[in-house]
Amino acid sequence: MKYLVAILCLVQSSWLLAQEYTFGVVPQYEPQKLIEIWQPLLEQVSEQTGVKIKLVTVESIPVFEQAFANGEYDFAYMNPWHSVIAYEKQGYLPLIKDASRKLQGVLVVNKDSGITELSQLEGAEIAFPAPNALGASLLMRVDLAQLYGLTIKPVYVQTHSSVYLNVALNSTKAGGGVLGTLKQQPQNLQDKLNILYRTREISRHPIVAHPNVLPKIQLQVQQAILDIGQSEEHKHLLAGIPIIKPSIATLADYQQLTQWGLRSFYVEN
Amino acid sequence: MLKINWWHSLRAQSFIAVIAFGVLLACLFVFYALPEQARWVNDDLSKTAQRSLQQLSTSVTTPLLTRQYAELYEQINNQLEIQPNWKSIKIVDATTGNQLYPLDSWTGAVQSGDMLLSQQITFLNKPLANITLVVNFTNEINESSKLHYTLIYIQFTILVFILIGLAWLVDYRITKPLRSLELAFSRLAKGDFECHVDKQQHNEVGSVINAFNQMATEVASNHQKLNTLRIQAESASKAKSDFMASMSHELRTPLNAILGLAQLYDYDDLANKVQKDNAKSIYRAGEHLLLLINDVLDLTAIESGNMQFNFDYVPIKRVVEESLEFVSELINAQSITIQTEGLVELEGLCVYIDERRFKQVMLNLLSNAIKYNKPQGHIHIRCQVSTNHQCKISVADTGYGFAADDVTRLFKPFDRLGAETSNINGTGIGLVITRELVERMQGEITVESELNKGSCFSLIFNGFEQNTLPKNTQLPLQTVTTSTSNILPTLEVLVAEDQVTNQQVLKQQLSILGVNGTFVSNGEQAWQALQDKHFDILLTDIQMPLLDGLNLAKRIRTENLYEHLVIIAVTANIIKKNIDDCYAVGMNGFLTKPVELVQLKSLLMEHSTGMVNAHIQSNLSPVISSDSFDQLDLSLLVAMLGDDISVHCMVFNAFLQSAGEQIKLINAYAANKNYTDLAFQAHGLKSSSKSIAALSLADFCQQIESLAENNSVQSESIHELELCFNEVIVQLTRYCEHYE
Repeated sequence: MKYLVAILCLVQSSWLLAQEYTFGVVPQYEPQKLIEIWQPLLEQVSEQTGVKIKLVTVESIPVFEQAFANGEYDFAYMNPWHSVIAYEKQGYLPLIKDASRKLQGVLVVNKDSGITELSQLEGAEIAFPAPNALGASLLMRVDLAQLYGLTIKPVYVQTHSSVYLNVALNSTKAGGGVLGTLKQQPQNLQDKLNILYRTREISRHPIVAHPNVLPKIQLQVQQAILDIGQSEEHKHLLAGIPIIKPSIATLADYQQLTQWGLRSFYVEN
Repeated sequence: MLKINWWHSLRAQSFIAVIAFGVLLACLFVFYALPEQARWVNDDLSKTAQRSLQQLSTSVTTPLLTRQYAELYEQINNQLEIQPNWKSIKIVDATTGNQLYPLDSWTGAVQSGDMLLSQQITFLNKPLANITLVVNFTNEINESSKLHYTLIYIQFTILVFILIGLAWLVDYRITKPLRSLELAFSRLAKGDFECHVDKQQHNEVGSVINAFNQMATEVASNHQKLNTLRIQAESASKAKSDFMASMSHELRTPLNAILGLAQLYDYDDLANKVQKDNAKSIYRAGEHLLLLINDVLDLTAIESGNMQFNFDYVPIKRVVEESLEFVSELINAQSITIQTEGLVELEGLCVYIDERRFKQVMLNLLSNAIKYNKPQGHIHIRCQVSTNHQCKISVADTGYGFAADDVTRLFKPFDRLGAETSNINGTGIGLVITRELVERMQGEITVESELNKGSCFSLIFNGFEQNTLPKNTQLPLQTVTTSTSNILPTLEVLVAEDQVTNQQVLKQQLSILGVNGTFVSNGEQAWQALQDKHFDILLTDIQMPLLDGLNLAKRIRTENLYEHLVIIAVTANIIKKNIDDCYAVGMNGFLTKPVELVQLKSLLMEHSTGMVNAHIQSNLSPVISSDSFDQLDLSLLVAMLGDDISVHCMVFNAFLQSAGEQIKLINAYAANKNYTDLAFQAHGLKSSSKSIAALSLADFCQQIESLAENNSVQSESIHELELCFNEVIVQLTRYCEHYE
């Protein structure tokens, strides 16, 4: 019997050792670039934990949404609102977040427009990159509608740059973006814009884990990433993602999005 | 050698052609090809830019519609980045007029060469925006120009090589061979037949050189042949002139005897009528023969170009009158009437002719008019002078005439148009000689004739008014007014003659002519005499010791001391060469030995302007019986010295004194084979013999002289000479005894 238990244990441990975990990444960029960013990090994690992790990339956000909704990924990197959805569908739990900064939307207007109050935007056309863009679009629309009771005509112009250009060219009276992309715009464009309003803050993209993954493994991976964040030698592996300062994420960090009423603004594909 | 102007040389012309071609090419490039190229490049690039702009317009339609300006900006920036000559782009919203691109204010076209292209962006036929593009193709055009200039440099380098090549080609392959050909030509022209040019090329120039070399060879061979032929011809000509010279003498001498003897029958009482008639026939035939001989000699002289002319301004009226007077007896004998018209018009008019030859022409025409006239015929002489002093003298007869077609035959030698069968005397060469003489005197002869009505010969000469002629050419009036009398001015004549006999003859002749003569024996003495005294005329023998006649004349003419001295050669050798030599050294005329009194007189008259007269007997017919003096030509003797027997004997004595010595010397030189002195002595004796009319002896002497010159004298010849000489001595002695 002892032997049997020992054999089972061996089998169990060998199974444990032999299992390969999948790691899905939101397709912010093209797959090649995603591999370049993520593969070195995941290899480092595997080396430190002994857990085999396989990077999985997809072509588009809808495919990605479908995949995590089906629970195809053991681990995944996604935006905060996706993490809320993923938790609801499959029970994905946040493991790691970037403690260094938070996500916040900004509303810009043309410097020459003479708009100083949000009330002046009542009924106006406002440019947004896309309906589901979290900081620039979802958070902003939620704030404007729920906090200020404004009715606006959203115009979706695909990219943050287009948003700023629309404002600068007086195509729309205002535009929703995030501070990060605004600062990346050419100086002459930035010079034409004023920030009229900032949304409430939310933690940035978390790394989440499927509930099927053993908690031990989840912890090992979480610890490995935290270690890497601490290690002078390896923290550059996180910079490309970007996660400047990894810390432990909790479900509560992201649940407030549901409370803010984002769901009604989210457009299902 | 012809100096070739540099501009005309092949080398210069080829250089100029190449340079002109190069300049033309450069102008073509700079003023046409380059601007055209720039325009073409500009147009082409503009079209391309316009197409690209159109593509851009299409591709930015969606971003414009969806207001995805970032994509719009990205596309435009991308285009501006990849299109190097796109300077800037502006997009303006069609409805609002807002500038959509660029973000900042737009500068537009500011640089030279900037060009604006614009395009409207439409969607469903509705204008969305206007896109304006500034392009500048200066760099492209400069690049293309740079390429072109490089091409031009390359072409010019090639051109320079072509130039050098052409220069070499022209210089080495054409000019140089041409220059050597030119040199060879001038050498050939100077008679250097070894002037072959090296043929180095196997082209056209080479073949020209080849042809030249062949030509040079052929010219050389032809020249050699010609030389041979010329030598042959010259010797033939010499033989002919020698023959003619002897003919004149040899034929006329026996003829004189025939004529003289035939005439004697008329005075012979013993002869019966038949004999007298026969003698008259002989005389007529002889006279015809003499005429024939004279004509043939004239014709020969004309044909060989040996006829001498002494041109002068001659009063034409006098010559015509004298000619008429000359034929008056003939006219009377033939019962023909003669009428002159317009003779007065010739008064005061001179013609530049040889008077003697012109008279010969007139006499020929007149005698023809008489001979070929009908019995009781008529001769009409008409003289006309036109306003330009051209005088026309026509001789018209009323004879048988001839058809117009026969005019060409008229001037052919020995063609008498059928008169050969008639009893009219004639040679058939009279008119030929006449025409030659007229043409040689720059005149013209024309003929008109109608069969059975008569013919008319006209002479046309250019006349000169006598008073317009230079003074020294005007003839003394006396000769005109006393034309029929024999006038001779008192002259101082110097005679240079080494033969005593000849001196004697000339002394007698000059004394008859009333002229003062001074006698010397050689040229040196003559030269001395000329220094001491003034002489009008010098009569000189050609062959004389110390200084011969030719050298004497040459010295006189070279020293230029005696400009007015007339020099006459007196020679027994009348071949053309001797005569030419005489004229060449500046002599004025010549007399042939034996010198006849009439010849001497006319010659002295011709060359003198003196005044005093002397009368000589006009009847020089022989009065001496020639029965026993067969060695002497008595008629010639009379012609030389007149019929005064005492004068004859004086000359004979002079011969008898000197000739004995001469024959001894001839014998001695012949024995010693001293041919030079032998020839000289033989010549001297010949000359003396001619002066006493001992023509046979003179002939023997001539033979000896000729043989001596050829160094082949036979003793038989000397013997024959001695026999003849003895005979002459006997006859001379007897002549003097007989008549004294």
